Order: sequence, then structure tokens, then C-alpha cells
Amino acid sequence: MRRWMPSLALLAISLTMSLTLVAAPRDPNLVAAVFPPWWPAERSLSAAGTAGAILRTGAWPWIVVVSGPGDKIAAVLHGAGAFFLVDPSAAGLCGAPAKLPA
Amino acid sequence: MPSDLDNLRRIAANGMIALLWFHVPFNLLIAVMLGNDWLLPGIFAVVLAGAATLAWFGSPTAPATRMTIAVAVIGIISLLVYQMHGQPWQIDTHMYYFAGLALLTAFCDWQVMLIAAGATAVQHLVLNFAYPAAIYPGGADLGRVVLHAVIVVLETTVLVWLTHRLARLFAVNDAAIAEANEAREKGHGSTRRPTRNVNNRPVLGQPCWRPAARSRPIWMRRARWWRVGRTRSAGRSVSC
Repeated sequence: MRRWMPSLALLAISLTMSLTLVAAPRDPNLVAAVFPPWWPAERSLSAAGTAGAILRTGAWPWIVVVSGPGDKIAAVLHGAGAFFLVDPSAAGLCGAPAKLPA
Repeated sequence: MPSDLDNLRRIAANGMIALLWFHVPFNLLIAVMLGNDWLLPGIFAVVLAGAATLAWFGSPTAPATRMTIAVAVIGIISLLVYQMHGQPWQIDTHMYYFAGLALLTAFCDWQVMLIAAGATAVQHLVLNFAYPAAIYPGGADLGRVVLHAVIVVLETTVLVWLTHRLARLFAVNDAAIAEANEAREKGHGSTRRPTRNVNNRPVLGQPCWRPAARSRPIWMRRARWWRVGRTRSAGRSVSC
């Protein structure tokens, strides 16, 4: 089994790199912000609202798709507490987008 | 002394490492030509080729090195397919996965085939859900994944069987050569020395035929002694 370990480790790294590549935002004006999962939906939405217009949430309420000016949106979202930004096409992957709270 | 199989695997590993490093600038070239992002894919290509090279430096013929190289080859092919996203030729670059599996056959190791096929399957399944455009033009298509998977399974089944048989044949061949060499060194209970080496070349410096001395008449023994003496004194050896 030990002989399989280096190749399995490289496979894991390779998958991580692939996901990193495909998750990178392609349109700087349209990003999905990933906030801490333990945050309530209202807190994530209010933090995302400081950067631009909220379009929808991702598969979970702590992933929010935001549209805004490309030169500032990343800095504002990071400042508001977002862990990282991904492409919106990768944000709703694992299920249907969560509904916005009324 | 390395066996023939080890030599073959060493040559294959050298070739694969060269192929991996060739793909680093090749991936960059494709990215620049298609106007894609080149920095991150370039770094990932270097990581894949570098990891395989590190393992290769440690031990060029170790099973772990071969399997690491296999994963790196499949990973770098996936990078190439990703670079072709949005292009009509993207689906054609999938042929490279099958070619990659065929290239890895040179290692004569069924485990290499298994990990390469597994890496191909995992890459396809994950990207089909995460970002289908990275592997297929036109979006996610589970049916297409299944079709490709069936073809890969067919190819891998035969290649696993073939590589296993090849490795066994090499082992049997090496054992037979070792046994023949051992028997030659021990004389194998006979006074007659072999006149041909393992490469079927004549062994120089020995007479081709030397029957037991007592079975020959005295005139023949003298003649024989005279002939061998002459050739030795002339600095030449009797050969077949």
C-alpha cells in the first residue's frame, strides 16, 4: 500500500489544482463570495451587499453571488469577511441555489 | 546487475519525464495562442512535472515512481484538455487520454495502468460536475462520461493483462539466463565448456570440440596438442 501513497497524494493535489483552476472567477464584475459556513444567512447577505448587487445564493446560504465594479469588488468582499471568491458557475454545483430570505 | 525489465522501465521513465517537461511550455503556448490564463495552469504543469521528477530522482525504477509518473501524465493531459475549453477541438484532445494509457504500457506494470485509468475516471467525474466545460464542449453530459468510461475500462483491462504477462515473461527470461550462466560457471558436471555465450556468439579462446583425452588415439592427441599450441603461440584463439 505504501507504494501507492505518493501517486494518490499527487492525484489529490492534481484534483485540487483542477478545482482551483475551474473555480477562478472569469468575469471580474460577477463573483460568488464564500463566507464562513457558521455565519447566519442574514449576516452573509448583508456583508455581500456592501460590495454590490446580490443576484442569488449558491448551494448554501453562505455562498452569495454578487455583481459589482470589478476593480473594487474583491477587496470589499474580502474586507467584509469572505474567505475566497469563485466563479458563479462553480457556486451552485452541489444542489439547487438556496432561496434568498424574505 | 539490473534486469532487462529494469532497463526497459528506466528508459520508459526517462522518456516520460522528458514528455512531462515538454508539456510545460506546450501548455503555455496553447494558453497564449487561445488567449487563456497561462500563469496558474503553467504553475500547475510545473508542479506535476516537478513531483514526477522528484520521485524519479529518488529511484527511477521504483514502483511508486512509475505510479507517480502515471498520475502526472494524466494530470498534464487534463490541463491540456482544460486549455481547449470552448474550442471545437476539445473533444478530440480526449484521444490523448487513450494515447497516454498506451504510452504508460512501456512500464510493463499493471499497477501503473490501474492508477492511470483511476486518475482519468476521477478527473472526468469531478470536473463533469464542477466545471463541465473543462472536459466537454457543450456542458455536462453523464452519458458521455459513461461512454468514455466504458472505452477506458475496455482498454485498461487488456493493458493490465498484457503488462502483467510481459512482466512475467521478463522474469522467466531473466531466471533462465541466470540459471544458464550459473550452470556454465559450475561446468554442470561436464568437462566440456560451452562454445557459445548467452548472445549466441562464439566463446573465443576455446576449442570447439574437445573429446575426453583417453578416448582419442595418441596420434590424434599429439595433433590436437600441436594445433592448439600453434594457435596459442601465434596469439590467436581457436573459435567455432
